[in-house]
Amino acid sequence: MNALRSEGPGPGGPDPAPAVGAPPAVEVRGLTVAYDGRPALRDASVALPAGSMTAVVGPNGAGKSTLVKAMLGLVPSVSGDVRFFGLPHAEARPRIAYVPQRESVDWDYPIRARDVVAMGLYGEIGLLRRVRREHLRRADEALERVGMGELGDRRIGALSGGQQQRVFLARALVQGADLYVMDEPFAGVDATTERALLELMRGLRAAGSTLLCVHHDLGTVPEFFDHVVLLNRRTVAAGPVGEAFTQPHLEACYGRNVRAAGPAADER
Amino acid sequence: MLFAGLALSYNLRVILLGVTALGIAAGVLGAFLLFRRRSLLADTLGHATLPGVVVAFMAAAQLLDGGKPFAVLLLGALISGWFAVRAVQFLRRRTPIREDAALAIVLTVFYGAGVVLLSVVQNLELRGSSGLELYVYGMVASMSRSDAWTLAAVSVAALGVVALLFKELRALSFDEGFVAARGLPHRWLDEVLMSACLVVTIAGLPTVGLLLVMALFIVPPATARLYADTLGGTLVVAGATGAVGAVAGALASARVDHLPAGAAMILATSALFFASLVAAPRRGLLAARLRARGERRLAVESQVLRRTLGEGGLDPAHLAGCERAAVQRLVARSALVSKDAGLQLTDAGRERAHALARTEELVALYLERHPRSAPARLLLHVERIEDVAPPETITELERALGATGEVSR
Repeated sequence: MNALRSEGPGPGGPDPAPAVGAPPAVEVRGLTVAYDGRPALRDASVALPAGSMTAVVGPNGAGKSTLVKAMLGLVPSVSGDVRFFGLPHAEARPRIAYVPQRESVDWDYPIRARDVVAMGLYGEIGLLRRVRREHLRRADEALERVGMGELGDRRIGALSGGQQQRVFLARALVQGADLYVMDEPFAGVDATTERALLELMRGLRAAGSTLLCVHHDLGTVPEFFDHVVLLNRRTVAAGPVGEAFTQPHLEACYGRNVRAAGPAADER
Repeated sequence: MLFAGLALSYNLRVILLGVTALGIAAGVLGAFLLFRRRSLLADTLGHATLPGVVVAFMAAAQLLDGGKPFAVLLLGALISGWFAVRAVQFLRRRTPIREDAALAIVLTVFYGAGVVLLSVVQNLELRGSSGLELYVYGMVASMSRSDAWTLAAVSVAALGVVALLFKELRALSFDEGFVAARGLPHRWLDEVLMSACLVVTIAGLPTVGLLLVMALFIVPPATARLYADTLGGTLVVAGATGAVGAVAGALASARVDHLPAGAAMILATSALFFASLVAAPRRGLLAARLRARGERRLAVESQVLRRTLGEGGLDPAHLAGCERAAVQRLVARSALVSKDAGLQLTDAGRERAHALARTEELVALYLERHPRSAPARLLLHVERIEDVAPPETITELERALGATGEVSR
């Protein structure tokens, strides 16, 4: 029963103390989303302190991607209130970077890595204005930060899955956001990239940013994250990993036969 | 001059200018449609103009007297095309109907209505109703100089929009979710792109005809994908293909009596496409064939080398057909030598065989250690692990191999 917590105080370390009185980075209350009249997400509520690194986990079809997409207004929600840093989405938008699922785009698209990263600056550049050399230089710097400094000229289709994920992260980095919302950043990447991404994300957290990741691998939750949201069409549990990532909660979320070690643990 | 030998009339030259602009604009806009998987939109737009054209013709016959109500007909086409766009957007956004079905529904409903209206008009035997066929099939001969200038102006304007919104349209056609999350006006951009397509479609109707105008949006970008690696390059090749096809078709239509311009343009453009499909470097069928043969040969050669290494020599009597050819190539490249009625590795061949064996072990180790992330290509191209695995991973694997001492050099 306690196998989960026997590892001591999760390697995620002690929870970063949120500044007193600061509004949470993300506050979702009573979010309901329906597809074709069927609820994909019912009455989900989540509050993430600023400076936390949170995993959203749950079985297939639990509405993990739906939660983040509805938060960002990418799919319409039936009801619910979402605030970022105490502000409505429209006002907080420049402070939020979204990293979509890698499968969501056509990687055959004829574009260089550098140009994808520069898209992170479009909000700043403004409509109708051109991307200047200065912007491309900053895109290169962001690529440098994700360990791809040499690959800016590569066509994205020629990159490996892990490199493509790094390009997406660089695009978010160049935007200079306070909140990073990432949909399955570790899906299908090689072990090296997984470590590199994790290091970068921890660096962002250390610098005060908040990270929210849809995650599929239960086994790595305590190691990678400090907060967790267990989702199965509703919020089963949410909070610091030590409190929320427990065997009873996991069973409530996944059903009886889930092991805390997680289904993917045998691969590492 | 390109057309000097053809002794073209001033009229025809103006028309060619018009269709050149049309070909470029349709090709460029079509590239964005292609990337948005929405090529069918051009088809829907073309067909959906028919009821508007016919209704406008009836209205003009009632209200106006004589003269060619060219502008009125195009206005009718524009209105009915606009309704078609609204209908597609409504079905796509507000109902569970998916985009491809929405496009097909709108196309068939509008075109069906248009055909019914057309038969009504033709039964009425109104003056000039036979001219309506022009909009179905397109005819260059009937194009006036001012029509051609209008066509050129509309096309250039559409290209201007693309130039102004280049970076936004690029982002939209690559990753709409990101554009939306970023708060860029993705719906507005979508509408702008659709409107540009609509206007260019309408402008091209009298020349190309509503049945085939879609092809000017679809075939040139498909051709460009066979060559270009960048979006800019794709747009340039698509525009050029569209222009060449349109000019060739228009010329043919002007010279051959009763040859519909639309059909001629599409055939010319398609000829460019099929030639490219076969002969384009890298992505053409021929190039793919050659590459596959090269890879097959390489695979057999490495098999032969490793076997020679493993068995300390090779007996030429025990070789399959494809292996015999590989042996000949290896001997020619002095990786193998004939010695005492057997085949032996040269120093260079031995080195290559060792490298191959090592790569094989690296791949095996990679698959064992990172089964989730190992690219599928690794299994197909055993030769080039460097191309598919990140350098850090290769270093890691090599260190692991070296540590266990599995490879003896």
